[in-house]
Amino acid sequence: MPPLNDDEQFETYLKQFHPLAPEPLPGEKPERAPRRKFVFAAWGVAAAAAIIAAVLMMRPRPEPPRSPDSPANMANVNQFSNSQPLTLGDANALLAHAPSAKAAIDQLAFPSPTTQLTKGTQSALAVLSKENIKL
Amino acid sequence: MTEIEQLYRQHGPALLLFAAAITGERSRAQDAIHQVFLKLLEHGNLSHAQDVKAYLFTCVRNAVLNDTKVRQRDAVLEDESAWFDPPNRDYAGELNLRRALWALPGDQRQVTILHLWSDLTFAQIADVLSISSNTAASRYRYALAKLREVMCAKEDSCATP
Repeated sequence: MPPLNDDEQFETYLKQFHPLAPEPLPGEKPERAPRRKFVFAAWGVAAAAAIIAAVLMMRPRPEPPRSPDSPANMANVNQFSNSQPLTLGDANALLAHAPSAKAAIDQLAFPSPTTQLTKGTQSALAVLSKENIKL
Repeated sequence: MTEIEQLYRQHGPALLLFAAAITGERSRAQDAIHQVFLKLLEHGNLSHAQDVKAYLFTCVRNAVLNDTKVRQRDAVLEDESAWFDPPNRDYAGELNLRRALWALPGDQRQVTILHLWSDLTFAQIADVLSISSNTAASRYRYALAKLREVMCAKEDSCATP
């Protein structure tokens, strides 16, 4: 009920009505944009770090030159004689470190037995290789 | 939050009311103040404005009056969209006030809203409306008297001491 007696009271009454707020500006909430940029940047940095780490782990390490007959070289050759699949990289490494190309190929073709036979037993392959088989 | 957005939050309600008092339509008033503030955000510098508050009201008034649709026809009050948040959920009182304001001549209505709900001085109102301070003050006095008369007639009874 509006008061009639004086202007001041009437003004006070009218001021009790508060103007309604407008709708937010289109595209407001600018605080979120920098945060999104930061998240993208963090993901980018993480992805780059992962790629660099993978490249560093896969890169072959340069080794000091060794004499062809050194035990380390032989061990290196032997490591490729296991039953694991032969890859181009392995073959290259084998050729690089073996005393000769023939030795490398022999090593691949006839790997040294990795299992020790017990006393009194013989390898069937060794026995058969000594026999003369007529075809 | 930028300075412009702070100004929007601070003066937005009064600017919207002022624009609605010219257009009669809340949606058109809303468009006008969005237009003004988006331009300000785009070009974003208010350093040239001596009185930022008065400048904002001037910009909104110009935006509303530049709307050809408003100029080409007589503005009509939209009953459905409220202008005020009424005390004690007095929605009938809100509609009564809105209709009483709309019954005022446009220049008196603008002065009343600028002085009562936007807290502009008569000097600032004079700047916004390009009139003298004395004219602004006298328009306000006339408007207040008419407003009280109309509202009391509608309410059927007014509080008396």
